[in-house]
Amino acid sequence: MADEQIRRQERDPSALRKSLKQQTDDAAHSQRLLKLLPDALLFRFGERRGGAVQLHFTPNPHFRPTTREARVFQAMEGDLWLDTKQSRLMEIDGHLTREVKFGGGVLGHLNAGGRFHVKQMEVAHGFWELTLLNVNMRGKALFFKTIGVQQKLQRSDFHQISDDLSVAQAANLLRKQLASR
Amino acid sequence: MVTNTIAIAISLLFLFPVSSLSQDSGHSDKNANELARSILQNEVKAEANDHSHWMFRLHAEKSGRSEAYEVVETKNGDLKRPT
Repeated sequence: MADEQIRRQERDPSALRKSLKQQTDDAAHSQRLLKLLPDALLFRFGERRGGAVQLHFTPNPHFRPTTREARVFQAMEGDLWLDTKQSRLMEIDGHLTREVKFGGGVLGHLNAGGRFHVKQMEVAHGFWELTLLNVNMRGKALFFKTIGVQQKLQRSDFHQISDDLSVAQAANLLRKQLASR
Repeated sequence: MVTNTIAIAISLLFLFPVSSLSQDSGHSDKNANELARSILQNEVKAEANDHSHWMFRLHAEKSGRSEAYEVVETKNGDLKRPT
C-alpha cells in the first residue's frame, strides 16, 4: 500500500506541483505575518536559559492592522523564545485574550482562548526547521460556518538530502526506507 | 556645609537607585523590542535564503485523526509515504 502511494505520487507531477504551490503560499503567508510582529506587539524580557531568551508579548495599542489576519495580533498575548547566539526564533506560544471580530462580526469571529504554539530547532549546523505546530482555534465565518482549526504537526528525525534530488530519486529513497524496516 | 553634603549624599543614596531603576526598566523594554525586531528580521531573511531539502518523519493530528509519514522534500514537491 505504501509502495503504491509512492508510485502514485511519482506518476502525478500535477499533484506534487499543487502541494508545492500550497507550501510556497503558506511560507509567503508566514513571512508576511513574521514581518508584522515587531510592529504589532510589545515585548518585555522573561527568563534566560543559556543563550535562549524569553520575551513576553502583548498587543501594541498603536498598531493599526491593514489586513483581516493582522487584526488577530490586537488580541494576542504570549511568549517568544529566541536564540540570541544565532539570532533565530526558537518558539512562539500565543493565545487570544478576547474574541476577534471580522467586519464587525458579520464576516466572522475567532473565539477568545484560541491557542497556537510553534517550535523550530537547529537540525544540522546552521539549519533550522519547524518541529512543532499546534493550533487550536474556534470561531465562525460568514454567519454560520463554524471554523475549527485543531491541528498538530510534529516533525522529527531530519536528514539533509541533495537540493536537486529528482522525484524518481526521492521515490527510491522512500522505497529504500520502506525496505529497511 | 557638612549638613548640606550629608543631605545631598542621602538624597543621592535614595534617589539614584529609583531613577536608575526607572531608566533601566525603560531601557529594558526598549531593548526587548529591539531584540525582538532584530531577531525576527533575521528570521525572515534566513527563511527566505534557506533552500535546503530534508527527509523527516511527520506526525499529523487533525480533526481527531492521527497520521504518520516519512517525507522527502524535492524542488518539485514533497513525496511521502505512511509509516
